[in-house]
Amino acid sequence: MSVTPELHTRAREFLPLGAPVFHILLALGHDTLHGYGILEAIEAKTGGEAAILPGTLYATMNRMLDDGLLVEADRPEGADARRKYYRRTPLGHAVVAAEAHRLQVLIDVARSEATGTRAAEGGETA
Amino acid sequence: MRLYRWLLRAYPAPFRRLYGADLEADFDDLLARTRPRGRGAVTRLWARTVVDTVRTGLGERLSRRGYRAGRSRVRIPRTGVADRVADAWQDLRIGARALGRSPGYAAAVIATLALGIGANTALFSVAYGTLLRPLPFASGDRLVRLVQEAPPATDPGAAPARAGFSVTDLEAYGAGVPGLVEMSEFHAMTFTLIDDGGPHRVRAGVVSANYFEFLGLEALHGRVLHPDEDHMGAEPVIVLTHGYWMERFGGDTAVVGTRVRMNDRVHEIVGVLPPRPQFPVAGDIFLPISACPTRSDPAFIADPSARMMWAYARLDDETDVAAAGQRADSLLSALAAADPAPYPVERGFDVRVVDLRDDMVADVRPLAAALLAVAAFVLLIACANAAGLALARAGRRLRELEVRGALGAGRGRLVRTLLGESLLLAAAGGVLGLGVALGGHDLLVGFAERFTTRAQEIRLDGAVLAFAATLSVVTGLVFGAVPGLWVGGRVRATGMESGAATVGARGRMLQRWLVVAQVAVAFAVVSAAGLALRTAWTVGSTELGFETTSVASLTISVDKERYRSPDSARVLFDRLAASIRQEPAVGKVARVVMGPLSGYMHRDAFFIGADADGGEPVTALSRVVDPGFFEILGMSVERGRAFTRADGPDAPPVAVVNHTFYERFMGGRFGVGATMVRCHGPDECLPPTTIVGVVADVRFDGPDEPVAPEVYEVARQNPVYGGENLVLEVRGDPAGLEQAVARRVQAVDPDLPVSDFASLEGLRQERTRPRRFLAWLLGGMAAVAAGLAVTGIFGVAALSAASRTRELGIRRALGATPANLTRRVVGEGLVVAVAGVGAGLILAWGFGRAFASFFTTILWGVAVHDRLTLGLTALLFTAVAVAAAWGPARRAAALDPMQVLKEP
Repeated sequence: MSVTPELHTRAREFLPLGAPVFHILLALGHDTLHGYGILEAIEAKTGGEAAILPGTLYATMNRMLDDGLLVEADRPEGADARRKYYRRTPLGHAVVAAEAHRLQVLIDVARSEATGTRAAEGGETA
Repeated sequence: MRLYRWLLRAYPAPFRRLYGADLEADFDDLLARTRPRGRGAVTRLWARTVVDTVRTGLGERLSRRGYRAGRSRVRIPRTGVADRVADAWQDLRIGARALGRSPGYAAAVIATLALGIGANTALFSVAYGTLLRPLPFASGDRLVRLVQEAPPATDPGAAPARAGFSVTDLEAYGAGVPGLVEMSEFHAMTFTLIDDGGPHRVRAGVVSANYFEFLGLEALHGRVLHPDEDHMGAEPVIVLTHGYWMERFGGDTAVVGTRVRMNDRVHEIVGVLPPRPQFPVAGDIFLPISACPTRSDPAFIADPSARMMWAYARLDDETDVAAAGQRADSLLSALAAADPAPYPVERGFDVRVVDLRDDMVADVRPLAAALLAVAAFVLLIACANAAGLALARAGRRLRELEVRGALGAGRGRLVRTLLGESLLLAAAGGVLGLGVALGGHDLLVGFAERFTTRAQEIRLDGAVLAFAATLSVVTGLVFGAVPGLWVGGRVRATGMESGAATVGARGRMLQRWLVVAQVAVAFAVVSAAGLALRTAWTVGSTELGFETTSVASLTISVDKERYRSPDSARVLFDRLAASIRQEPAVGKVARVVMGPLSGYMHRDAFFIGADADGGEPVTALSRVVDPGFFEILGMSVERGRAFTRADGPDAPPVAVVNHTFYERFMGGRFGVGATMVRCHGPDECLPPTTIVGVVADVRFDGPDEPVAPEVYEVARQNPVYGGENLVLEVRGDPAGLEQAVARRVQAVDPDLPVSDFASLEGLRQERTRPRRFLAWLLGGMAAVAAGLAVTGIFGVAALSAASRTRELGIRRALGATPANLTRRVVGEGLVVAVAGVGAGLILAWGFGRAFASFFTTILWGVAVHDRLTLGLTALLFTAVAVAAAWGPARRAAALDPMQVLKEP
């Protein structure tokens, strides 16, 4: 899925992303999942650390649907008939990519600073 | 799952329609996955889910999002309401973490608020249950009571007092006042009921058959009364109250249809009432008017002045209380014009119509209002105290808050953080306060029961919980606003420049004002409590004048039908006394009508002199006693003689009067040996009696009744009364005496019930218990109020001295002596205390004025503006202020000026 420049510009308006939004977008990946599936995926991908609860999930997804980051998807073959399924839109894809990029930049800055500090400390003891 | 579905109501309906099924399904799966990990894990999941649902639900509700079928692609701005909720949530979490770091502060504030909120919640439950809650009867707001006031028959000159209604009155008002529908009558009686368990006393309500329909009460078991049971000669029946049924019959439904004996007749128990407050007074059973020996007596029915019954009515939809009152009044005028004798309107005879709810709670209203006001005062002090603590803490955290401000947190956000903290503390205080209210609940209900039967309706229910919740939120906002606004102003004014780590001059001023307010309010509460405590002490230490510790009393209810002849009654009491005296622990025994501390008294009009025409009547208390009575109670004879066995039924009638009677009515004009005539009405005088002696004054009606003129006559020379007391001289161990005496009594007549067995000391304690309870209640609240105010004084003194170390050091260096500095710091503490005490005096005066009827009810032997109490309270607070300032002042004076000035 390629990101057009126009989509990229729109995606940047969403940054920085709230934690639940980011986790939901990451959890979905390129899959089509129902709500509980998303909850499980978030848990699996974060090692259980960022577990969110159904209330937060649907309140967040409701806003994401309004914002056009998600759409309801057709039920896959043999799916649970009780539930609705969701997948990312191209905009959702662009947003998660943009957020990842933003965080990457921040992490790079933080790393270089951390190394710099350590170097400075080393200098003083020497 | 039903609980979760209920929880989902936190979301707006459209949201639920969209996601409800998914939320349920997901939570179901989560639960299923969590269950194997144990109950703790499930509980944690539930707790987290409740918080999560409420939080997101609130966000959805506040966002007012349109849930249209076709979704808008409009982006919600990131400062939307949902985000603000998220911010608020974050504020609360920051608050919780910050409080976790200062548990001492949190505990102090929570405890302070818990006491304030708890006291208010408990007293609100009393006020709500008794004063505000609608009557639990059908169309309770249309029910009224008719009240007649008449000059007392025995003392025609006295002010009119509440009189009952005669049968003639009831019929007249029932037929002659338009707008009053369904008149209903009630009177209270005490009877001896004999069932399989033996004889015992029951409090009976004698009512017209429509009484239950009138209140909209249906029987829980069996039936209530039939209309034809009003007719004289109907088969006697009784209906049990729920409380009596549970207590006496253990809730056995088989009791309906069984028969018991009462008033020498067989009554059938036809029904049991549901658990409702007993109306209008507490009782055990109800019976129709046809079953009451007095009410069904043709002579009683025919006498228009035989006023015993209470009258109730329902208003129709067009009539209000005032209109009904006017119509009743004009009917009375017509009745008086037709037959003036029973309706002496020119001497103050009057009729009124009052709202039933007002009538039922008339005694408790001033009490509840005043106690609620005191509790509100305590909460005010708690708020001021918590605000003072929060202010000091905000001062210490100024640096942190400024850093957050510099990092971009707006002023509003910082204020909100502080408010979040205070709301959290207030919520915790509220929860703990509910515990306080719950703990004091039974005590308060027991207290309120002495004033209204509605005490049974006092519950900690939804309304009370809502009150506590509202109070907590308001409290949190009020005490959080003070430091919040202060910090808000400060951060804006100084930004990052300020280096001060404590509250500055303005903050100190604010703290001082808070302490002045606390001292003022605490002063008012403490002086009110002081008055109640002085009353309790006065009542507790008043000498009754007779022996209480080694004397017991009991009530024997004699069936007047069976012991109608004076001789049979005399024989009965002689045999009873002889039988009881055989008990080893019993010494002398004497009979008395309306015995010491029984709560009953009787007044009569007497003419001193040869005959009724000889002079003005005097009113005195009247008791009839056996010869041994004065000796058992240790009452000394001041003049003449006491009664002897020779004063029998055939001897000339004699009387003994008390000291006050002698001094007030006889001194100088009559001596021992004078005659006296007793009259029950204008034309009903008994044969003359000779006054043979004078005994010392005693307080038979309790320590809080004034000593009144009193006449004693000989029981054996007077007719049997019915409810008779015996006083026993108790020697040795009183344990088990009650049962032993009851067996002795029943050996003489198995149908005689013994009740109210108690030592006179026990009766005295029982009688003064409400005053002691009130003194403890007010004293407790006053202790909390004073304690809080004192902490406030100490805190301000310490802070003020500490933050001015440098200034004091400079003064010292410039030549001020340690004594100068001590005076200076102590003087400042004194100024705060004196300002608080001054304001407190004004407040206490206003409180006394506003709740005058409360104070007249609760005080005895102490004036509302008792100088001693007010003076001692003022002295107490001033002394505390000096003591509080003394320590910091000494430390400040002991400073080495060079050391202080060298510090950065």
